[in-house]
Amino acid sequence: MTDAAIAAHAVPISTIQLVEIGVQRLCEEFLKLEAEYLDDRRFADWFALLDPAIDYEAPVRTVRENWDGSGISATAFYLKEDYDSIETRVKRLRSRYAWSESPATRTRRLVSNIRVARHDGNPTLMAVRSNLAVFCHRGDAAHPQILTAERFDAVRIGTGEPRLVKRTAILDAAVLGLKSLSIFI
Amino acid sequence: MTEQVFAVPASIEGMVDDLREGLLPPAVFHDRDVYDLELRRIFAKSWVYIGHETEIPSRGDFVTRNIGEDPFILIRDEQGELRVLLNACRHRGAQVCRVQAGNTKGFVCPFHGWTYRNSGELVGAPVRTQGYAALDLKEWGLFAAPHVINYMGLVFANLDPDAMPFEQYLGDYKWYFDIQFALSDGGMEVLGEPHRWLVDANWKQGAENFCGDSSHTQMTHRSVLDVGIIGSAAAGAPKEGTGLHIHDCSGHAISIRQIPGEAPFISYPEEVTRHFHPGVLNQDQFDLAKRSLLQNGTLFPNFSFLHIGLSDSPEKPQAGFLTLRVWQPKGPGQMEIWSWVLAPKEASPEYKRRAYQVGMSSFSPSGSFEQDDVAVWPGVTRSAGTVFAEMNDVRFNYQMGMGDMSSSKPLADWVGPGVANSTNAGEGGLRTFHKTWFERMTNTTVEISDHD
Repeated sequence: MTDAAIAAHAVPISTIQLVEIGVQRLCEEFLKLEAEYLDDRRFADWFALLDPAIDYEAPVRTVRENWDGSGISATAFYLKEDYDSIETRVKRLRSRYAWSESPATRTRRLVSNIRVARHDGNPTLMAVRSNLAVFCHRGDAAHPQILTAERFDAVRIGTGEPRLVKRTAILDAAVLGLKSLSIFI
Repeated sequence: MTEQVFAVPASIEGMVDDLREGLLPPAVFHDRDVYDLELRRIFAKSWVYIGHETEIPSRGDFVTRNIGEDPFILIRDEQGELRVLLNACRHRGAQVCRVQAGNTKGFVCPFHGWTYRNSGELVGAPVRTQGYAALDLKEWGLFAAPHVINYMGLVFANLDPDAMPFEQYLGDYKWYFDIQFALSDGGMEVLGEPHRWLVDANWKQGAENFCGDSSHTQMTHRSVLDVGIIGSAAAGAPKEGTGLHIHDCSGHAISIRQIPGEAPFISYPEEVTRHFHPGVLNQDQFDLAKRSLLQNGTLFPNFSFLHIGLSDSPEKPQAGFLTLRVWQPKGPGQMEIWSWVLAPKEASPEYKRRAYQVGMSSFSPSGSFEQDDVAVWPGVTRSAGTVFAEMNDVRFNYQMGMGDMSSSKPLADWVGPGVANSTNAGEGGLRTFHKTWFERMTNTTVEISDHD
């Protein structure tokens, strides 16, 4: 199985699972660095953090009765990306005619509640769960749009730099207040 | 009807003269009076798109939708009938359904407990024998849209008891409309839940855009041309021969980009096009689909479609898909966009996943095309409300391709209905939209000769 396939079967981290402090720190610093690159619009550096087998998705959610499942769609997404499609998005942002990000959204990402566990079947693949708040300031609007999400990531550590192998970012909003999702989450 | 007490606002009263000149008063995108009248004369009296039958395949399946700003439940009842019910308890008005989708045999109001079947019929109220002994249950079911139609899987409703039949409303536009939904025997299938997002622009920005704003693509969408996920034939500058604009087609309009003599078939691959055959379409309709790169249109007022092939990377082949969208009004200065991705029912699960991915990557909140539309449109809404525009009696210019402005004449021998132009360097479709809008707003018929 590929790392992405293993990560797809990840169980959510719902008990305290201590990993070595160095591994915990590594994963935390990885997410912070990623947020820094995105906030600083260093998209090429950010892209280099992705594994070429990246599976990157943000499912649509619908409001359901409490007894009727999570409402998180298995078929509808705001983002459903692979390496090539993310590269295309990054390239587009370099065009001066990408009006949604020209002038750019000023983003401030707060990453917290980072939990790290090992994936079964691969000692170098870490399951990393985090909370994300992105404050998006656009144009001369005085108030930001705020996106919040929970992220389920698979991060490969071991030899070389850590790489993001899989991400599922579950937005809390059922209707986006942001006129375009022209940022990465 | 009580709606008659709403007079036509002065800001649009003399608009017919503007329309004859190809001009538009900014008030249509801004004034509250105009908006309030729209809710009554357009949304409460038109055939409004509610949803697709494939979103609610089983009995009891429901989704919540809107007509204008009114909340409705689209549900398949125990008999399999499609119902469009006002989401408001007949007792004291609380919402009986507070989720976006699900499956249920009925609704119990969380306020006092009035209980309804999924057909909308009232079956009971608590302590009825003590306090509501003479209540006639048959009289107090949920309000239902008087007209609901399932047309090729598309569910439309009309709140006007005296509404003309849907087929009459569609009129000659049927010729183009059917092409989108009937290329294969199984028709089109909705892939997943809709995207919903808020944009600070008037709902008509989206509706008019899909009527054939072909000259915006080379500018608004220049970044996707730069990146190479679409060719200039499909999204570049308007061009005689490859562009085809049809306007004044029973009040609706459509824009087509085609390659005469070739068969791009909306970039559907052979594994999908082998399921295509004329079926209910005639050979002319089928041939038009075959030579089309894309087709987009708006069924008045706020239901649009785009049938196109795109990719999410220049490294990967293009894939055809259909996107449907509703431009839902939320006040004069805001809309909620709803969008769905569809693919032919016969396509493989792998193809449907790919079509969804490509559709989402181009037309959705994160879509590489749509992101840039909504970056631009709010500016129009803001301009429309400026005092200085009002002081200067400003009109927006929709004259592109009108009369002497155009280098070509309408096609004399066009096989389909409506007025057809072989160039898409024009805004005739947008003029059709605003003419239809004015007629519905004023309950009049306007004769405008628009030799695009």
